[in-house]
Amino acid sequence: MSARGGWTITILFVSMVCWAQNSPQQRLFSEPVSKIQAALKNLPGGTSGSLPVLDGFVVAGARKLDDYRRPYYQCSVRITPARSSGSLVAVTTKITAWNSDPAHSGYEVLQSNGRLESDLLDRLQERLASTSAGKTTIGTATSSLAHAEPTHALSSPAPDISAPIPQFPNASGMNTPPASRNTSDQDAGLEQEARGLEQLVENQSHPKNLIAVKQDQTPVLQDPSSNAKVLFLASAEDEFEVLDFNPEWVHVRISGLSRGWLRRARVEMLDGPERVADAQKLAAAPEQSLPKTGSVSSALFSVSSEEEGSFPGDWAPLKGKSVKIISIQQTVGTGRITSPQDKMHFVEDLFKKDGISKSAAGMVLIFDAEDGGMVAATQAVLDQWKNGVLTEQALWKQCYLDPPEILGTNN
Amino acid sequence: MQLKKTAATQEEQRHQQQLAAQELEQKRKQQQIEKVVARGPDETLQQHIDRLRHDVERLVKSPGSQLKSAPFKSASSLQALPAGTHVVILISTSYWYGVETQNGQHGWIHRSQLEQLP
Repeated sequence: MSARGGWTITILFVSMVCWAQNSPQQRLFSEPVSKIQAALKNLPGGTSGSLPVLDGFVVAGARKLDDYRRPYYQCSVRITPARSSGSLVAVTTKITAWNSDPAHSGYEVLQSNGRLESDLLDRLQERLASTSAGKTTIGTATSSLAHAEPTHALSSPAPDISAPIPQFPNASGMNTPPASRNTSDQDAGLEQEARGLEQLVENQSHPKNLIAVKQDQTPVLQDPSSNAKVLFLASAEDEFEVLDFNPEWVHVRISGLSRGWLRRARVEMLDGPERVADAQKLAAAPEQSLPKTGSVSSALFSVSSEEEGSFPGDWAPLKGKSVKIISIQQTVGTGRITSPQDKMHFVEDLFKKDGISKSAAGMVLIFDAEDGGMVAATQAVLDQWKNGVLTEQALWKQCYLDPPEILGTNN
Repeated sequence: MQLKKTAATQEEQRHQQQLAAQELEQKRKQQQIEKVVARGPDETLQQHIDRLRHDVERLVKSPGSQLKSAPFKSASSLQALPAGTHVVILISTSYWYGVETQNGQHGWIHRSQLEQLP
C-alpha cells in the first residue's frame, strides 16, 4: 500500500470521545453541516500536530512544563445541525506530552487552555468566509485534513499503555490521485508525502517504562504475595507498563484500571539499567530517600494518568456518571507501605488543586499500590468543601472510600 | 561529618554522570532519527520516500494475525488482519509494535507477525 494510496487521517467527528478531554468550545455557524465538513477537509493548519512549546496552550498548574517533551495535540470536531439550517461546531483538544521527570516518566494528558480550540474555530470561520467569497486557498503544506473522511470515527480506544498511540501526523496531498496532477503537482505531492513520512519517523515513540515477561505461563497476581489470586497467565514477551517495583515484585497496569503484580525474577526490565538501579537503591533505604519536610505525601505519590470516564463502581451518587479519574502511583522505588494520613494529605491536595470539567459529576482518585484503593467525591460536595460550607471531617464522611479505612477516617 | 560530605559529593557526581549519560543517549537517538529522515545526496525523492516507507510500514505475514488492544497475547483482539495487510508503526517496543491500519484502526501486533516491505 502506498502511503499516498489511502492512509486515513483520523479526524473524529464523533459524539463519544473516549479520552480524557476538556470541555469543548462551541461556535454557531450559519452554514449547513455538509459545508462545514467540506471546509474542514481543507482546513489550513489541520487539526493535529506537534506543539513547539506547551506554555500558552495548557492550563498552568502545579506541573513544571519544562519537564515535558514532544508535546502533541489532537482536536476532535463534532458538528451538529442547529436550528435555522446552521451548524453547531464543538471542538475538544487532547494534548499529550512526555514527562521526562524520572519519577513520573510517561506520556501524560495535559489540560488545554482553549487556545487551540478557538484557533481552530477561527480558522474554520476564515475558511468558510474565503470559500463563500470564491477564493481557492485549498490547503497548505501543513493541512492534515485535505483527505480526511468526515464520517470516519476511530472505532476503538487506543491501547491502554502509558504511551498513547500518536495520531497520524499531518501529511496533506497523500491521497491526491496522480492522474490529476501535472509534473510540478506531482513533485509537490511527493514532497508532501516525504514530509508526512519524515514526521511519522520523528513521532514514533519508544516507551521504556515497560517490562516483558520471560516465560509462558507466568502468573499475574492480584497482590504481591505467592498466595494471591492469579488474574491470568501471561505469555513470554508479553509487555506491561510498570507502575512501581521493588526487588521482589513489579506492579503493572494490565489495561484501563486493571492492575496486577508479577514476580521481579520472571520479567525483563526494558527500562534503562540506571533507573532500575536507582529505584532498587531507594527501595533498600526508603526512609533515607524521603524528604523530611511537610511535603512528604507529595514525594510519596505522583499522578500517573488523568482521564474522564464512567465512574468505576456502584456508589449511588456517581454510578454511571462521567467523572474525572486520576490514577496515583507511589513514587518509583519508595517501596514502603504508605500511611492513611499520607494518602489523605495527597487526596486533599488534589481535591484542592485539580479542577473538574463541567461535564464531570465528580472526581475519583485511584491509588495503585499494594495498600491502595479508591476515593471519590461528587462535584457538589467538593464545591461545598472548597467554599468552606463543609468541614474537612464532613468532607471525608461524604466521600466514597474503598476500603473504608483507606484514609484512616473510618467512615 | 567528613564521611557524610564525601558520600554526598560522590552521590552528586553519580547523579551528574547519570544526567550526562541520559543526555548523550537522547542526543544519540535524535541523531539516529535525523539520519533516517535526512535525504541522501544521491537519493532521488522517490528513493527517499521508499526508504522512509520501508522504515515505518510493515506487512502482516500470515492470515488471521490479531490486532490486539494491548501488547500481550491474552489482550482482547480488535480485528483479524489478512496476510499482506499494510500497517504503519507508531510505537515500537522490544517485542511489539503499536500500529495503525489502513482504515485508521489502532492496536498492537507482535513483531514476529510482521515483515518488512519487499
